[in-house]
Formats: sequence, C-alpha cells, structure tokens
Amino acid sequence: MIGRFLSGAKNRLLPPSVPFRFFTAAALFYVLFWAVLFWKAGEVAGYRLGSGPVLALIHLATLGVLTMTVIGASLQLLSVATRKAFRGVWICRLLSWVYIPGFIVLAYGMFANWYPAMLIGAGFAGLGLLIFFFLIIDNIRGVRGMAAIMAHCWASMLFLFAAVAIGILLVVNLDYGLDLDQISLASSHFILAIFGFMSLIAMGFSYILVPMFAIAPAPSEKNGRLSIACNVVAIIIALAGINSHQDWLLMVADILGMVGVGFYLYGMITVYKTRMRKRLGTPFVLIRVSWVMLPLALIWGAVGIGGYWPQNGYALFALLAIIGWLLTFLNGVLQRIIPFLGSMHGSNRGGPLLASSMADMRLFDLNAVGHLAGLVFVALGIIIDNDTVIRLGAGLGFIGGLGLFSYVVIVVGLLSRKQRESASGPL
Amino acid sequence: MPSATDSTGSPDWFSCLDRRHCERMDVRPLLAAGTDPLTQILARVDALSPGVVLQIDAPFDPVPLRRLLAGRGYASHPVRLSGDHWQVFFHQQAAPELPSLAGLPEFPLMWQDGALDMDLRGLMPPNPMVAVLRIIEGGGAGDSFTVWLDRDPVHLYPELAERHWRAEVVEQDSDGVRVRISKESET
Repeated sequence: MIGRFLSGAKNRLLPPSVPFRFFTAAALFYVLFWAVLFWKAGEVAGYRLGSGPVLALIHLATLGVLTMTVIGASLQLLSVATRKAFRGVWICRLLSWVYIPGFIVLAYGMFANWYPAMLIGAGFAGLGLLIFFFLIIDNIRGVRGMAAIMAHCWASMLFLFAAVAIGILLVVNLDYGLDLDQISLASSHFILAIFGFMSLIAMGFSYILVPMFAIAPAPSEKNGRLSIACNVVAIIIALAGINSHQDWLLMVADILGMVGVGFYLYGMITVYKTRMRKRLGTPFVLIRVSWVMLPLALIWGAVGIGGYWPQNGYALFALLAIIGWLLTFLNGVLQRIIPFLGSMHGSNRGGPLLASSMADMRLFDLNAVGHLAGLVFVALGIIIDNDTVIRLGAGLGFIGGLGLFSYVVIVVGLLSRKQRESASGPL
Repeated sequence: MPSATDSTGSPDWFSCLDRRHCERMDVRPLLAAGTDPLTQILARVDALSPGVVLQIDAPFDPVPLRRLLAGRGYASHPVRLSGDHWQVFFHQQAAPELPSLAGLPEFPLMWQDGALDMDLRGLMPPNPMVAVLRIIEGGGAGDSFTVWLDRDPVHLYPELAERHWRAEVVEQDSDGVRVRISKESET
C-alpha cells in the first residue's frame, strides 16, 4: 500500500544508480584518503605547496569525497526542491563517466608527479564539473522562492567555475612553466574551492537538510541572506588580498567570513533548539562537531594572517577546514541521506524499507568514532610534529571509513537485488 | 469528537432540544417510491441555518448518512419510534479550535466539512513537513486531514510511515498537489 503512495515520490527521484554511484565513489575515496594519509604521514605536517602525495591527498578529500557527495546529493534532492527535473538522466550518467575516471587520473598524476596525467585528468574532471555546473544552473534558473538557498547555489556554482579554471591553469603552469605566481594561484584555488564552492553549497543545503533531519521550522530567510552576502563579499576580498599580497585585506575577509558563519550558525542553533526529533543520533554528533570546526578554522586562519602560525600552521588550517569542517559535516549528512534514499528507492508493496533493516547501523557509529578520533590524532600529530601520531589518527580514520563504505556497499547491493526482483516480478 | 451525554444516554444538545424548532424532512415517501433521498438531504443540510437542528424521519437508522454528515461536523442522535419509523436528529457542532503551530510562518488553515484543511504552498521547505508532523503529533486534527503542497512531498512519506500514517494525492494541478493524510487503519 505504501509503495503505491510512494510511486509519485519515486517518479521525482532519479534512478538510484545515479546518486549511489557518486556516494559509493565518495565512500571509497574516503577510505583511500585515510589510507594515503597513513602511508604518507611523514609528508603531511610540513606541506606547503607543490604536487606529490599530499596534493593528491587533499584532492582525494575535496574532489573525491566532498565534490562527489555534493554531486550525488544535488542531483537527487535539488530537482525535488525546485520541482524541475534535470535535463535528462543520460547527462547525469555522462557526468559520472567523465568526472570519476578524470578525477582518478588527476589524483594519480598528482600522487606520482606525472604532469601529463594531471593535465588529462584535470581536463576530464574539469569537464565533468562544468557539466555539473550547467546542470545545476539550468535547474535553479527561474526558481520561485527559497531565495537564500538559491543564492548559495548560484554563488557556489560561480566559485566552482572559477576554481576549476584556476585549477586547470595551475596544472598547465606546472607542466609548461608559464611563469605565473603559483602561490597566489594555489591560494586562490584553495579559497575558491574550499570556502567558495564546497562551504557555500554545504551551508545552502543546510538550510533545508538540517531542519528536515531534525524536523524543525526552517531558519529565517533574512538570516540566510545576510550569511551568504557576508560570505560572498569575504571570499572576493580574500581573493583580492591574496593576489595583491595585502594581509589586511585577508584579515578583513576572515572577519567578514566569521560574521557570515555566525549568521549561519545562529540559524542552525535556532533549528536545533526548535526541533521535534529529540534523539538525533550519531549523524548530528558529527554535524555539531563540524559546526565547531568551521569557526575554529577561520579563527586559526586569522592567527596565520596575523603572522602567528607555528611551523605547521598551514597544515593545521587545511585540516580544520577540510577534515574538521567539510568532511565531518558531509559524513553526518551522508549518514542521514543514504538510509533515507535507500528507504525511498527500496520501498515496495510490503511497505517502506526501514534504515535499520538495510544494514547494521553500528557501522555508522564505527564511522563516527573513527572519523573523530582520526581528526583529533592527526591534528595533534601536526601540532607536535609527530608522524606516528598522524599515522595513528589515519589508521583510526581508515577503520571508520570502512564502516561508512561497508554501509554504502550493503545498501547498494540491497537496492540492486530489489531492482532485479521487481524486474522479474510475478507480473 | 464525542458529545457529552445525560443520564439517559442522550447527548446534552438533544436533551435540551426544543423539537418545535427543528427543521423536518420525511424521506419515507421518497424511499417508498424507490428514490435515493441523499441528494435532497445534502441540499437541506447545506441550506440549514446555523444552530438549527435537522430532523429526518426514516424507516431505518441511516447509519451511512450519519457517518457522512459526521465528517461534515454534524453530531447525530437516532430515536426509534416503531419498527419501521426512526427519527434522526442532526446538530452542527461548533468547529473545534484550530491547532497552534507556533514558530511556523502563517498559512491558511481551516475546518472544512469537519476535517482540517491547510494550504502549505509557498512555505520554505521543510516547513510544510514540520506543519504536517506537528498536526499529527498534536492530535488536534483527528484521523484525517488535507493539505495543499507545492510539490510531491517525497521527504514526508518515510516520516508518515514511521508514525503509521499515510498520504494520498487526491488532486493535482499546475498550482500544486492536494494530499489527504490519514491514519493507517488497524487492519
């Protein structure tokens, strides 16, 4: 009976193979991220710039885990929110065929210092991201309402476009020696990708996903608009500061970013206080930790701009922003969204498929404990400059990553079986 | 919504009733002629002045009619006068208080035909879902109510299933979907 009522909902969702190929890839690259960190722990703390295993490691987290998750979630949920179907499932599939192999080649090229592979990989991954860019822009164009969320989508997509362009320029510069300012380019690419694209889209989706998970009224639209306005201006000022080598501009950008993040967190705290679902479970432990890490990253950034960073300050900043804020937040979101989508796609005439019946939920606890322990030990290892402690953190993170990956694989297997069963059903 | 009753088991409103002020309708001749009187009864109900009680004379206790009108907010009380003569009295109950939905933006909310009807179009997600779940958990809308939504409420379905409620799209046009949300039957 429920299946009949869900049929309308299912029609609005893309086939499960589309989002789940991105989620599976994200979970796999998440495990690989910790594995590479374990392997190359000795090169992490002092890293500042240049290709090699640490650059590959950073991109495993950003392009491999974060962007992959963002693509899967956007393709699945945005069309529901905007009431506009994407322009063809085949384009979404094409995106995966271009982006995922492109990213693998790029990451391997970075890891092995093999510039031709970096160039080819960057070309394909960049093309994939451009397909994603046009898919999203096409979907959000002319949408009524949800002004703050749409503003986040627009801004993040424009910053993505700029980040991809600069990323490709960086690879070309490495390969052909164009004599461009590599440090300014790399710093601009970092700010655009981490704070411009990924953070803004994470914050934008928070305005729907967090109240939906917690069952709470959406935060005020005004709050979201103030947040995105501050954050966009902050990123533009930061880019100006980086490229003009004016630290005071960077400090202004950091402070303005803190104000923008303050508006965002105020909205999220309001949601948290007014929620109907009292027991939010493991995903919200991760999400709440990420909300602490985001301002902490900005505060640590301000310390660095002021010239007070110790030797490994840059690595700690990258760790707070990438693992502390973004990876922790997206792990929490994945822990809620995968069971939900599994339930939506796996329902049948027998009723809805419950999250707890799909796979052992303790895999998520393992994921959360491993991730948070990994974060703490890797941070500690960077601060005291101790490779063994970093390696210990990476090992714990790896075990946690296996928990998430196992859950995703089990759900994908279950959905595949259900799909086969329904294809060869009694009728 | 159950009515208070007196010591004889009759509801209070019936015990205090002055039958001279009832509006009467005898459907026995219609039934004897093989005509279904439902349309005429509903027309009389629609034209009924506020506070006036409708008295229907019938050859049996019209339980399906009583259920139908209960859904429109009418309490009823049957009185058996003889084996083939029943008088059934219909009294419009005061509309129950509208549920409180503090913290959510304002939206049209009213009682219609004895059931709560909400227009949640234009609200930012997930406010429509929150409104529906608050109504369900508050228990102020009985076992069924309807909502107008901008979109197919995909995220609501698992939440409803978890609470043993269900949703059914009853109307759909370019302005949105009208969804009936009702409690799963015990069977």
